[in-house]
Amino acid sequence: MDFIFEGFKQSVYLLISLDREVIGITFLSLKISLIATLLASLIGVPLGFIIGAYQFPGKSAIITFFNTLLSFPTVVVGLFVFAFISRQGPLGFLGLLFTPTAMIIGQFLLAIPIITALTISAVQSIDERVRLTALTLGANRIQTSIAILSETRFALIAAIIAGFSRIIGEVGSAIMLGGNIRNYTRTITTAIALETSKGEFGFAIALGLILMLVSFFVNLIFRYFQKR
Amino acid sequence: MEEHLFKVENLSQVFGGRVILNIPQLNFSPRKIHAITGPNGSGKTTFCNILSLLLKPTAGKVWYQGERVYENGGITEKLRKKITMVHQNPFLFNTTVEKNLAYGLKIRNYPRWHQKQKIEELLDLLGIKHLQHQRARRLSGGEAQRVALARALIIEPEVLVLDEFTANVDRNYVKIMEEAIQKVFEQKNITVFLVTHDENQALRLAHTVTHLVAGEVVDYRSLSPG
Repeated sequence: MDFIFEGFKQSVYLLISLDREVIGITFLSLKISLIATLLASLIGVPLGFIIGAYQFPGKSAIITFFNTLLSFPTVVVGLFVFAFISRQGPLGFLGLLFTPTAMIIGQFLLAIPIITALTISAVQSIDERVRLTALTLGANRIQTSIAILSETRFALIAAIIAGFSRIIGEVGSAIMLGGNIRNYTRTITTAIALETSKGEFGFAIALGLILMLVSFFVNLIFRYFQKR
Repeated sequence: MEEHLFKVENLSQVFGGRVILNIPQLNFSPRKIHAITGPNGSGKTTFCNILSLLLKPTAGKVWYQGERVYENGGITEKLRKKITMVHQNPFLFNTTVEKNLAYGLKIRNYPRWHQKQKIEELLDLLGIKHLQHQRARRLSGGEAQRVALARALIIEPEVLVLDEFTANVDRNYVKIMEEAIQKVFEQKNITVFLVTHDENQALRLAHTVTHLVAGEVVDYRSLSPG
């Protein structure tokens, strides 16, 4: 039990002293996940809107497809991207493997299904009167779509936050695509995995506490928007 | 020859094989209050949705000021800017009353100073100035109804369609709302369609009463309101 207590003591020291490596890893994690979330939102929100708002053949199958992707294991996504960007892969010439860009691609693919699926559900559950009201006030098709998006804005923000929550805490694709290289691709989760296996509990616990803090704030924001 | 605002010919609406509306011919003059009455399920709301350009009829022709509607999407969209409807349970956007009123002006690219001026004018006209900065979702039924009316009027429509506009407000509000409609009609010189199941209300306010039963016009009366 002593090693746990010692680990906690060391982690508190690392956090209070604003250890450079801990801070560096935290910022890199946030940077990668925020960029991936932003890119996934730029595609997932409009895609989810189109799927949710319009009727077309195969709509139900597409929704099922996105819902299935929600529970896709992160290592499988990592494996999939790895196959494409590894030296022998079709995109191997880009030299992306074991770079932050590769991690962003992996996280982007993980976030897209969540953001798309939650956007679809938000748009589908919107009151039909939003569309009618916009039309009766003279809105054209684009303005009507904007009115619908605007009315679902809190659900959309919640969808984006849910996407971020999924990827900030994932380790499978991050370790496979980033390679856990110190000061380059080492993120909170990959560092925790490594430091724990090395027996450096203090460092791992410090990062664990930061990750929990990030999750806590993200969930706080999520709850706030869910209640709106 | 009498000038017609709306002209309807061989209009029919069918939902799931059931005929909801069947009107061989009907005309409405401009700058009048036209009441559409009838019991529940008589097709009056469906008819008003068609007049508001929200529902393309299954068959038949509709003209607005001599222009055929529902034939061409562009024309329908253009005319929609002149015709507005306030639904029985109006939907208010999840923002402040002021921003709800600004919506129609914003999409018409009115400058901000003009938006402000018109918002003030409408809030005054309907006696809801005290609600200006309130969140629309926190309003009572009667207040929401008046805000929806102000939001519809601010765009200066040629036609205002009111679907059971006093059905969900308590008795004290009915008189206030009726007076507001009368005031708006006199000041703005517009055409009003009043969908109501309350025949006394129709007689109090309207110049013509079209009575529908099971989707058919069973009575049409021209009268002087008062």
